[in-house]
Amino acid sequence: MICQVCGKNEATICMVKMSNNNKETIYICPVCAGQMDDKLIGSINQLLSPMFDTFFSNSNKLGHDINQICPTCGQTRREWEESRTLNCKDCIQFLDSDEIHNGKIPKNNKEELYVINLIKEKEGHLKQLIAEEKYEEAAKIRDEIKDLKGDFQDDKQTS
Amino acid sequence: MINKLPNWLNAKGHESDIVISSRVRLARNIDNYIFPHRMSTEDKDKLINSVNETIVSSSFIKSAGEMKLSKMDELSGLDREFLLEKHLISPNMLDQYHNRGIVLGLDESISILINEEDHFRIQSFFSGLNLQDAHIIADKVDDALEKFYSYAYHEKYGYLTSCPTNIGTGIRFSVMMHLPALSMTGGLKEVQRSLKLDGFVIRGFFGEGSEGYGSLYQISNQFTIGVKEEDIMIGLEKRINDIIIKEKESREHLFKQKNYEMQDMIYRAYGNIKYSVLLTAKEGMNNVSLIRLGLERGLPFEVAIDYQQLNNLIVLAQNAGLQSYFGKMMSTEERNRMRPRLFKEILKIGG
Repeated sequence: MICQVCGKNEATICMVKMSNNNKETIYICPVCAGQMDDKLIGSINQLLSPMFDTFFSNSNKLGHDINQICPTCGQTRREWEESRTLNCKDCIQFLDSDEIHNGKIPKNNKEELYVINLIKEKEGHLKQLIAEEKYEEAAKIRDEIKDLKGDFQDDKQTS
Repeated sequence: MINKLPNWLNAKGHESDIVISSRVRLARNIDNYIFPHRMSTEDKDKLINSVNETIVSSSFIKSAGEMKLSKMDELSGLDREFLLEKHLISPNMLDQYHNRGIVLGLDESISILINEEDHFRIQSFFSGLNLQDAHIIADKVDDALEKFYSYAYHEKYGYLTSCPTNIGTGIRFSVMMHLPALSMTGGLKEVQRSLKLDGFVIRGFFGEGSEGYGSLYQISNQFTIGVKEEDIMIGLEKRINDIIIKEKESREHLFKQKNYEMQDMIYRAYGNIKYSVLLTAKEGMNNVSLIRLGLERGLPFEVAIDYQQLNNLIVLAQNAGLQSYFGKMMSTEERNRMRPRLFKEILKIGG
């Protein structure tokens, strides 16, 4: 059989990879098997080096306090510098960039969102009233929901 | 629905002999949820259920069309792997599928991943070179979702995403190409260098490090901020057209210099498919690549072969594709034994 990595040499090594209880068998040649070892060691080095750079100081290269915390999700600037991941919309405070967005802008139709949320709220209230057997009040709420949904559909059709 | 082949394989788009497919992906997050990396499982489920309600509303269907949600937890391992092979989900989504979902349009040309790296990943796929239509469709779905969710958006930085490299437009245009001549002559290195200078990147079929699988490559934009979506698209289209010209020149050159060697390789590839007893996906795809090259050069084969058949093999030759085709689970050894039959059946060789 031909090596499944380079597709050139004769495969003499059978590698078994285990992930998620799945067994995957790969046939490879000795040359490709050697390169796989190098890649593995290289990637471990890459992972570790930036952590040592920032670990022993309280401010980063730009002078920012690395203990600064995002109030919304709790991520610290230190964590951000390691992960380079936004965990919520407010983590954007950590980003230092001169770039300015120049593309699509969301319309964020708040009015429509408001109506949807209002319907949801009233539907919850309706369930509660029925459970409490307050049918007269429930009928009133039911009609209100019907009207709101009607308006919503009309808006959709005209827009 | 999960088991059928996607539309992007139909080889009906522009430049279908060299360009397999065009894809657009939009990354979006909702402002009142923590982003998926730190999001609680309760919130993740809440979002999935909310999307399930959203996509059946008349307002959504009207602008985005009919779509169906599947919870990744409720799909079989084979279904999930098949989604990956159809390029509908990412390798990361295959490994960590809990509390994640996928919304699929009826022909699978449009999809929304929920709770992957970002709350929403809107994807649109077209066959051939057609970034424009792919963008229009993805944009429509984005507009439809926007009516129900308030996006995380920053006045200066634009759409906010988990990974800072996607901030701004959150858009990635990506084109899958078949470039056998450029990879044989080493011309790809030059292509890679010039793409990089302009902010574009070329990867193998499965992404980084998978170069040389059936000579299939994906070319996409690296930067997402500071430039309008349309301009990123026009920039990429121009690069793709340049690469098409280079690939055609390389083919011309190869067949002029080494006509017999090329024909020999192509017909041996055909023979390999016809007579092999054991076949891996990679070996099979490399043979298909050569047959595709022969087809484009007008070489006659004993059976009539078209691009759609060859495209279908891109997906079916892989592990889950093969098992879905034969409708049963198989070990690696069994798959290698059954693969020659799959290739012969799809290409109608020796039937």
